[in-house]
Amino acid sequence: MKQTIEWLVGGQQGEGIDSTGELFAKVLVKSGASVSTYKQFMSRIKGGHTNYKLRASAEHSYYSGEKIDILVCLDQETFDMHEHQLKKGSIAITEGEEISITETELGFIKAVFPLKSIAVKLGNSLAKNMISLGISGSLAGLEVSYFEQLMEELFEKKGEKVIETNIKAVQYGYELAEQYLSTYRMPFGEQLKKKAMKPQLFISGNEATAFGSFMAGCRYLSAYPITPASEVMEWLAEELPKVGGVVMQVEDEIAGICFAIGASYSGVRAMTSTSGPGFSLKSEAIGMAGMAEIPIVIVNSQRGGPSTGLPTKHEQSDLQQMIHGTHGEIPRIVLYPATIEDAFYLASEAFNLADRYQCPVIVALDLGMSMNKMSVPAFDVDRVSIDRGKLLTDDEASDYEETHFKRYRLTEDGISPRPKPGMKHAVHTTSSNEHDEFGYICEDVDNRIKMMKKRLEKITDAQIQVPFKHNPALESEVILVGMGSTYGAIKEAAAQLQVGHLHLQQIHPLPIKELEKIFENKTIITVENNFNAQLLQVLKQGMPIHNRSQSVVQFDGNPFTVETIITKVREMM
Amino acid sequence: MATMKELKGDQPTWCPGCGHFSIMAGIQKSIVSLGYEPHEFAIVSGIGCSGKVSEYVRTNGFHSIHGRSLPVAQGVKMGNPKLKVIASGGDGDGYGIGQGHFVHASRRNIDITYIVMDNNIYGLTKGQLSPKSAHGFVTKHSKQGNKEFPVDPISTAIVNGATFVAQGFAGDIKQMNDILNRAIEHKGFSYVNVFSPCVTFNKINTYDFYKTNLTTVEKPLETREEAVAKIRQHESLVTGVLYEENRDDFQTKLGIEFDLQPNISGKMDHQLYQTFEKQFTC
Repeated sequence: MKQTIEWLVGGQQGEGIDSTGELFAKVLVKSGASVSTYKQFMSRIKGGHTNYKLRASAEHSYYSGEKIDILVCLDQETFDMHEHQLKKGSIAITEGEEISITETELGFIKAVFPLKSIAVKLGNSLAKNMISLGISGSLAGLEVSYFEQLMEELFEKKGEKVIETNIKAVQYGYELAEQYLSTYRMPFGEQLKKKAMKPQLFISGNEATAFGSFMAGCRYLSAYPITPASEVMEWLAEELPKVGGVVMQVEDEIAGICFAIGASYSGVRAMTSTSGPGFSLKSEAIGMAGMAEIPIVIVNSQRGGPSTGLPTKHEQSDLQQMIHGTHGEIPRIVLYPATIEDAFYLASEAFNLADRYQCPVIVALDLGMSMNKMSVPAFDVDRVSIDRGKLLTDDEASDYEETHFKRYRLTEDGISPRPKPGMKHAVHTTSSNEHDEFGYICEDVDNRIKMMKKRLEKITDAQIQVPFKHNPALESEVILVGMGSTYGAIKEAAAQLQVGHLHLQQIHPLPIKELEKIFENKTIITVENNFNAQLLQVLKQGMPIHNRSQSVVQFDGNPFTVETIITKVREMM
Repeated sequence: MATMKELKGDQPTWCPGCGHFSIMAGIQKSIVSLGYEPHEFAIVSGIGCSGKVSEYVRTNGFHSIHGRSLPVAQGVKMGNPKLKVIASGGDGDGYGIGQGHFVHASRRNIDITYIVMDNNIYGLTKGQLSPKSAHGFVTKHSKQGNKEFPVDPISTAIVNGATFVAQGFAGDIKQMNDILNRAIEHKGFSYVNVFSPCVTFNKINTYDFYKTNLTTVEKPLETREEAVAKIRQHESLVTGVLYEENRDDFQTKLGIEFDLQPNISGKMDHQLYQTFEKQFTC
């Protein structure tokens, strides 16, 4: 019985490829499978090839796979582009004049159906997607009732007729498969029935980040639309007003962060979301937040760079920019969730760190994480509680009995009690210039040294609950190190290679003490999607691993496959 | 109620005779005469000579970065609608690097007051051309004279939907105070450009120049078109409230009850989680 099933639907952009893929993924999740998806699309609205790939498995998995068991081709291009991913026993469903089932020289089955004319006969020329979903469902051994349930939920607002024709199309697909393809079935679904059915969430990295921020009490987001980060803004724009919050799409990226810094200064939990080019534009304001000690959360969903680069492709090349971007030196924290599930928790923790340390906290995502959905267990809201740090209440502020509140009071931990503007006994000055304890401009040497130390040393001990995920392979001297959405692929590659795997979730400040212990005497190989091996550079800055470290890099816009990682690591070992 | 003494902040470092002194005093006087207290205000400034006003007036002050006082100030107001918020900056700050924000603030109409301390030159960087410098204006760095035309921010604000547009002169304190009082009390985006002579670097736009060349309008013009025509007619050298209109401010238009500051430490809300989790459950 199959342990995993890999499926891909492809066609022209605008043909509903995305929703077709999502429907199939949801049925698989409903059936009890763990599902990982990956979308490929281009920077245009209509036309051009697009596809939706998924991998479903009985055990929890974070990898969207590289081979295809069932290929649904809504155009010829899909077949041409993905034929090489088919293997013996795979089935390709394609469009043609007459029904024919043939085994190819490569050993896969090519099934031709006149999908379009069947769809017209069924009364809905757009239903060919649904027919092919039915064929897929039958081949995978999934219960047709799950499709029916989903259709009812999905098209509830469109009325009975739409639900009915779509269900009919799916059922027709099941019949076609039973009639012509029954000998080629791959009954993946049957083993799922034995598994205890726990409800799972099906969610993207952007949505999980937005949801985590929402639950952490974020009530304000200002941003500018940019792929692949826009969904963070879109989700919150829909949901925040329901709890009295606001999302503003403002005039540019700089306004995006400045509005949020203003709101945060007022006492609100505020954030902005962007991608690399926008992050570059926000740099000066990030410096302001660092200098003025204003908490701010910035979500940076990375895409292919530099400049306008590859707007709809995956990359992890903003790492150094996130750690160092802005002039001068400021305190900041950079987090990078390893999985979609972690995106929820890290977004929540980001707000706590921002408030606690009064500095910018950057949540790094990458396109692979941001835009693709995965099935995850329901989130545990007790795992992160809300901590607003030294934000003062009116009464606490008045206890200081100061006419002009010392906003930048020098304290032992370097963190100053923070009043909000509008408090009767806490009129205070906030400044982006070097300042004294009152916030007044001050270029005195002694003061400068004290203030720099205060700001830059206050984050030394900042640490999230799980700064990295670590699967040691005790016998192995080799350890693969990665970050972000490569988690699933590296995990599987490491298991096959029988080497260790460490996935870093806190990039800055680096949790050096723990890492040093783990890396002692080991050979370190970073696996990352950029040219310069930026993660390796970061590790080298923190630890003496120069003579026992290498990296596997890929910067072609696509995520790693397990096969690539294994091949390249073997060459090094 | 605040007193002038209470509103005194850090010691100004402006050149003696700088127009910014009277603008600063004007802001302080308005706060006093309108009966507010220091803590009810936040002044957000940009960079340059004008940027320091947020430290010299002792309300809550936020000295931000070049050209960004408007987005920061609008964010402050969004975060706490009860605060009276003033954004301030110079002509370089606001009409050069910050011009984009200015246009959008005009059409957005968030209830803040924007005061520009306009000296037609870059002061703190030692006398370069500003976007407001006249065509042909000669500086040490432009000996052949300014090749570009100056921006017309007053018309810009009016044509882009600002609901309160005024111009004052640091040498006419009575009129300026009257304008500032009305601007601060206006519900919506109120914008005041104040001619503020730079006594060190600008030898053209002096106190005497303005005294000779300014015309005053007694009451706002009826329509945006009339206001723009008037400004054109006097080559922008016209003071008074030029245009005023009542239109719902941004926060009113949003039509939602603000609760941006739950300000809670403690556990996450289970019930809230369950309500929103549903949409992701298969």
